[in-house]
Amino acid sequence: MTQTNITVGDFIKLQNVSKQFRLTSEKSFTALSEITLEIEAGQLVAIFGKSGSGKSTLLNLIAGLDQPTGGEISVAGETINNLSENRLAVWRGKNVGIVFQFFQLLPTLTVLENILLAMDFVGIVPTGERKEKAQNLLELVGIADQAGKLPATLSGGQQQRAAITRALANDPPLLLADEPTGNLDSKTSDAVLELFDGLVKRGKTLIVVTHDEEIASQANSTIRLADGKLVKEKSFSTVGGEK
Amino acid sequence: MKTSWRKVWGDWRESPARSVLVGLAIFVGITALSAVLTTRTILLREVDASFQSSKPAAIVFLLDSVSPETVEKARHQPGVIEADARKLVRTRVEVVPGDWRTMLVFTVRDFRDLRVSVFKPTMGNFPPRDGELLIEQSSLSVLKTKQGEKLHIRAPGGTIKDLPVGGIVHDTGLAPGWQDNSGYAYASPATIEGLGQSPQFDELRLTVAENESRESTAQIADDLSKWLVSEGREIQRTEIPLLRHPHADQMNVLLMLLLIFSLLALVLSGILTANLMAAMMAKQTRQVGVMKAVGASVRQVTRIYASGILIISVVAVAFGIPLGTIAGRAYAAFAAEQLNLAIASYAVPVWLFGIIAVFGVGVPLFSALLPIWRTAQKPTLEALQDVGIQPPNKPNRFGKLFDFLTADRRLILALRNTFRRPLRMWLSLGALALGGAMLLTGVNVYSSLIQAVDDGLNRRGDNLDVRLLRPASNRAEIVGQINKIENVKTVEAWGNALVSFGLSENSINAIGTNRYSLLAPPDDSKMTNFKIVEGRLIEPNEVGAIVVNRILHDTEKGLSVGNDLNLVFGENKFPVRVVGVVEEISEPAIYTNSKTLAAVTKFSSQSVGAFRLLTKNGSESKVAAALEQVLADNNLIPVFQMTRETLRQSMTDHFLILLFVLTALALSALAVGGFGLATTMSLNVLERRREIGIIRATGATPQAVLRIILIEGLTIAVLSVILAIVVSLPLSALVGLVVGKHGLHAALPFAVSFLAMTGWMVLAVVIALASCLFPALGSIKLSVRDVLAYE
Repeated sequence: MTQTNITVGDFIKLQNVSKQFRLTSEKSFTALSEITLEIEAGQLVAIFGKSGSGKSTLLNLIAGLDQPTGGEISVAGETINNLSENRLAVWRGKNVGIVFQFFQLLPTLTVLENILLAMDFVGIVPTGERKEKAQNLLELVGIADQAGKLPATLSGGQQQRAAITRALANDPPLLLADEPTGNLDSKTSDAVLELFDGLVKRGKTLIVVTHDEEIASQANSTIRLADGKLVKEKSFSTVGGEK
Repeated sequence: MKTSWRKVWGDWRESPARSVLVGLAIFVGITALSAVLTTRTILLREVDASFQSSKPAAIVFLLDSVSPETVEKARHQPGVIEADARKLVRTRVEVVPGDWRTMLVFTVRDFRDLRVSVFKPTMGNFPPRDGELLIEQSSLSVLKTKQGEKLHIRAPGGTIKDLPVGGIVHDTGLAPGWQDNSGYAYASPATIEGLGQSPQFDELRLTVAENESRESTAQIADDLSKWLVSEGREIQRTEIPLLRHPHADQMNVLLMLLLIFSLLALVLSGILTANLMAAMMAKQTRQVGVMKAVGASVRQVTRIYASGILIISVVAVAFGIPLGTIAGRAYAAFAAEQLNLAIASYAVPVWLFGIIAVFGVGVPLFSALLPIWRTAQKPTLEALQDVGIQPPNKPNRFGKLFDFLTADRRLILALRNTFRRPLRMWLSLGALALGGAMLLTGVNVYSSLIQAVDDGLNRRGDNLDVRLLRPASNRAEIVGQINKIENVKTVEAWGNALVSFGLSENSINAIGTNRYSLLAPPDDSKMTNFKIVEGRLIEPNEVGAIVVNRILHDTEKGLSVGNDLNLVFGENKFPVRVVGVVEEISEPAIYTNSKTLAAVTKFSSQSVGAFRLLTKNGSESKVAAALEQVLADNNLIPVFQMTRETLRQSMTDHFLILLFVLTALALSALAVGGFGLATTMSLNVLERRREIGIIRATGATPQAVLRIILIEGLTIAVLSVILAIVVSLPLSALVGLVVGKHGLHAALPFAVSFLAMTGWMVLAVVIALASCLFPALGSIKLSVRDVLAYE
């Protein structure tokens, strides 16, 4: 497979990004190798690949959860690969919403409180407006009636929606989802996809790591990884077209 | 940040037992500290205040007579604040048939107008009627009496009379009666006359304006002496007593020990908090990752978790301070009773509560911050991917040792599990071991004290010590009579006189300190096996040499080996040199030979002032009763009589109080350690729930799982026993050094209580088993399917 540079916009820009993990003092493992890509704003982008291809690693780098071994990453105009952990957390709060595969809701807080906590950390939503905004978001995803419940009492689909709502709490321009339908049944998966579609139409940029062909088919563009390298893939964007 | 408070509440509510344990640990630590600081504050203030409230005499003149006019004129002399007259009569009281005790009877000028050496009524008649006595409250146990009962009294000169106890008083200027096994009574001149004594007062007691030092008081005494002489008074003796409570030093040592132990208990609660927070943060790591992923900074995360500890600490302090204050006041009251003090105020300054609160909140918070910060600092991804307890990636370093110890894989598994979370294990182990070390130290020091007393008393060679009010000249005759008493093995006749140390070189009369026994054993005495700590003993023909015991050396200044000073007896001064210091279990005393005693006192060298007897074991009381009769037949009054057993009992009773208090503190620390172990074990089991499910799925019975977990707990118990024993050895030596120097004025032998070690081993095992039992039972209650699904 040949290394291909894919350019689909400049909201997110990766330039020769690599990531290696040290296994022992002599051995290391290359999870990503020389990735260069750009992602436009307002797109649904699917990152596709087999297990161990580097999908989650790529997502973590874009989210600022991890630091590249080499190269440069720029998201929403900010070069993030040299930021400290603390500054990354602050940047993430304002710019990125993350939806985890296993939801990762805080178990001792209600659904509503999980969203409010995210607002409290970032502090950009005025205090007096937080509760109303959180409730509106829950209505948007269709689980307003679950606001006062603890996560353990919700179904998988409801928990995922709650996690999506938390990701939207501070109205970030970028949403990242790692296997969001991995633990859901097909009906619930469809509902989540519909939600994603709606968010993209509202101008969010959504990057999804997935095995799900359905998501890949609905994406504006697809990034396929194999053995840590980009593979040439079709873009379904009406803007970009095939490159 | 209201929602973060909800998270705090939810996290701690998730494990209520753990939350309660943390709170309890801090509560116990702060209660102990609060109690000790309260006691310390009250006693340090009140000991001196109580003593001073009795308006103790700064100068005591023994004159030919003291008239009311003399007293009145004395009050107007320069430097004098107050003056009063008194007379002391030393009597003997038969508390039970054959058992006689010394009772000092103070003749009081005017009970309603006490000016110096003041005492207060607590019960009964005040003033007493003629023909009845008031008894000082600390003497009631010595005299085995109470208000309304009669005392069978023998006075000097042979008068025997029964006098009723008309009332009880409290005299805070006196040491408690049990100290010298003597009673104190107060009577009117008419009552004293009824005992065949002259009612004429002979003591002039004064308080003075400037008594910063004895030297300045001696100057005033010198001026007063000149005035008294000009008034035609004959001065027989001038004394300048030590103006402080006799037990002040010992009390300071005890309070310091209590403070150290209580601080250790608080430190333990801090260690426990750190341990529990480390465990909690291990469980919360992924949640920390999530919070940081959604935008929380390190500071915000730290604040959330620190808030929980802060709330628990504040609540624990809110309960601990009042309870500790109550306990502290109760102990202060108890100590006051033991020391014959009167506590005027139990007030504790508000700022002290502030300090305790700062410690109570600060120590746990500070201890918790490190584990919180370590987790909050973790890179977000690492925290998100945390899977709790990690499978080891290299063989356990103790693996070969475990393989060597046993071939049972189940036991090896349990032993390896114990060391999987090394920091947590060492913290739990350390806390338990420290509590154990405190317990062992308390008992070891008590054993050392008992051994020191026994060694000291055995070294003396006598078991009955009797001293006469006035020397007898017919030494041989009396010795012969004593030797005929049944059960007497040996009797030695000693010289004895009450002397003081000269305070003023140039005064017109000899001015001295408190009076102490100057004892002169016979040259061939078998009862002077002194332990020399400095210098040497006296040669038989050496004149002018004295040896002091260590308690006297520590009490009075200027008694170092080589120092020259004057001994004052009555109005006479005699120069002596201190040649040695000895260590013994005794009240303060000076030793010399008969030649020096004769030179100081002008007594005949054949006179006898004291007897030391060795009787058959168990017969001291009977011999004492018979000896009393022999002395009475010879018209002699013992002024001091002490059997070895009585002396030992009174000392060991007070050591028991020390042991009780130290043990209480050690048990508090152990409680904290036990809480810590309980929580550690429950967390250990929780973290390994899935592993336990795997073991059960592959054939382990619930009993086998139970056994593995209990062995883990027992391993920690065994290690803590060993560590506690190791730590307790130097700790016991250090505490023993301090207690010996300041408490007993004797070096304590290093004693290790094997009984305490055995008790500690049993206790450690019980604590460990109790701590493990509930988590262990919890691990086998769930089905295999449920535990395998645990995440």
